[in-house]
Amino acid sequence: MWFEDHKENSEVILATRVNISRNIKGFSFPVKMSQDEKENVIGMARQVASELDLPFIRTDELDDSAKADLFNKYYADISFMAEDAKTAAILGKKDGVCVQVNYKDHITVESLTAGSDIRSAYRDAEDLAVEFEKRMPIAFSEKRGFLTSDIRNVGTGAQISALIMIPGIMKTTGALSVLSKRLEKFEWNIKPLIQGNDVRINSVYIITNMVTLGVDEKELLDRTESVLNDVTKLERSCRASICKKKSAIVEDQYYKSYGVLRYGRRLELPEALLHINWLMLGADHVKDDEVSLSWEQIHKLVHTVLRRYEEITAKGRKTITVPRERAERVREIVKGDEA
Amino acid sequence: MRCERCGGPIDGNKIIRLNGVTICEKCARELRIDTSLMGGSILDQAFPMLNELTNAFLNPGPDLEFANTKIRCPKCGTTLRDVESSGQVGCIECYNVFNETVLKKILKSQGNSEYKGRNPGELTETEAPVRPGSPDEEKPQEQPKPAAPRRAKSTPKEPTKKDLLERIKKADLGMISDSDLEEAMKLAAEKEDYDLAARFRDELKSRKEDK
Repeated sequence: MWFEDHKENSEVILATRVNISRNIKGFSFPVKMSQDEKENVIGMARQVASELDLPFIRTDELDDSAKADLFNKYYADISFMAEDAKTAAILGKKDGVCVQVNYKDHITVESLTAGSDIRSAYRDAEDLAVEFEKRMPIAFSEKRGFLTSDIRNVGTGAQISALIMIPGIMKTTGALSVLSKRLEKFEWNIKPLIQGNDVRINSVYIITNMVTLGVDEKELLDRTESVLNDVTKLERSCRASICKKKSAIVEDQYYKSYGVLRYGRRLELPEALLHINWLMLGADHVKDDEVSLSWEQIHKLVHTVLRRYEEITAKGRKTITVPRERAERVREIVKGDEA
Repeated sequence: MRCERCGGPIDGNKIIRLNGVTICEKCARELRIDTSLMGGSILDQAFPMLNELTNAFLNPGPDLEFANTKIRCPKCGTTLRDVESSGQVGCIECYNVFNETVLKKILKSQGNSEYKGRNPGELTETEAPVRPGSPDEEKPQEQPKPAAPRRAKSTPKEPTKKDLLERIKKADLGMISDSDLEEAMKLAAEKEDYDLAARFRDELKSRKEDK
């Protein structure tokens, strides 16, 4: 899967996502569309998918395992795949690229990549968006740009966000405030992925570009590159400083965390993330042949813990089964190729 | 400007203020307030009238409905309240119907309403700038500029419009130039601070009379 690769800066930037939203003239936006209108838009999107030779999937025809596959790859949210949603997904030729039909906007092209390679992620998204723009009458105004259902998105209609894991920054006094101020300068927003008291422990944040007007796409990409490089630089320097000053603690915690993840039988989400944080901190610092854990394994661990369809839809059996199943999946990943 | 009782728009010439509350003509009639009395001090008005107004606010009748649920897009039925609360519109037409609200929301979240992006069907040049040290490029790489100056603190040399208004608000009006006053008056009117706009207008008027 696209997030398992270890790419440039992916030890900090877990994923970079580009969403390009487009709407078709003559139809209300999905939130106000009638069932017939939704069917019409699905028909138009299916036509484009067929011309581009891309797989087209109606979400109301999906079984649970197919839904899980879309969700776990970050291609679709639960509400997107609801029974009566009348939505569809088109899979891109490249892993990490897909199109959501009838979600918040008629067409949302999504491109995901591990690490911070925003230019290739944007290129993939825009290439596909342009194909739709050429084949459909797009809602566009010279004054406002691409018209979207969310006013905050009008203009380029391009929302760029990144999922970051920053244990170094979180364990360094004042570093989060430095990062927030830097992001604010570039008009980016930062918020924890999981709200609640555990945020200082899990260190997973989402940063999002807030500007779609007043800048062109090129400047947007330049700014994004700069933001992602700044985040990586700051996190790396915090990690290096912690590993240097608290070397013994990092080493101890690294092995303890490895032990819990490798052999634990029940794992709650905050606990799992806490230990993954220590693995991330010590990954490039602890050199030992006893433990062989690659960055690819760590990435897989993070995403397996963070996004799992089976956990979200578990309902009644959440408290008993989910921690056990999570621990089982984690053990398998940490075990890797071990005999 | 909107009526604080029913939420409906008020014609600029028919603003009725009572005890610090702005209401429209229709509400004034419903509350049986004689608008011919308006303009004088609140102390000149009969106390029963004040009581009625207070009661109307404290105990709204069953027919009292905020007009921002009545103002709706004729095409998709989205109401002004929907747009104000969620920041979402229902169709393209909404952008025209709720133009003012949309613009305010955009300015609030982005600080800019000018579109500079590409046209449909065009591709963006996404190549990264040439790195320093590259044989083809001797000039050092330009760093991308942080966001456009939106807040005063990031551009101390070029005060924003908001700064101008704040500065003039606090300053002695006699020390402010005519052009700055005119600008401030427009800004205050845009912000719907009509009292402040009127203050600036009166100052400008008195200056013209002096000349």
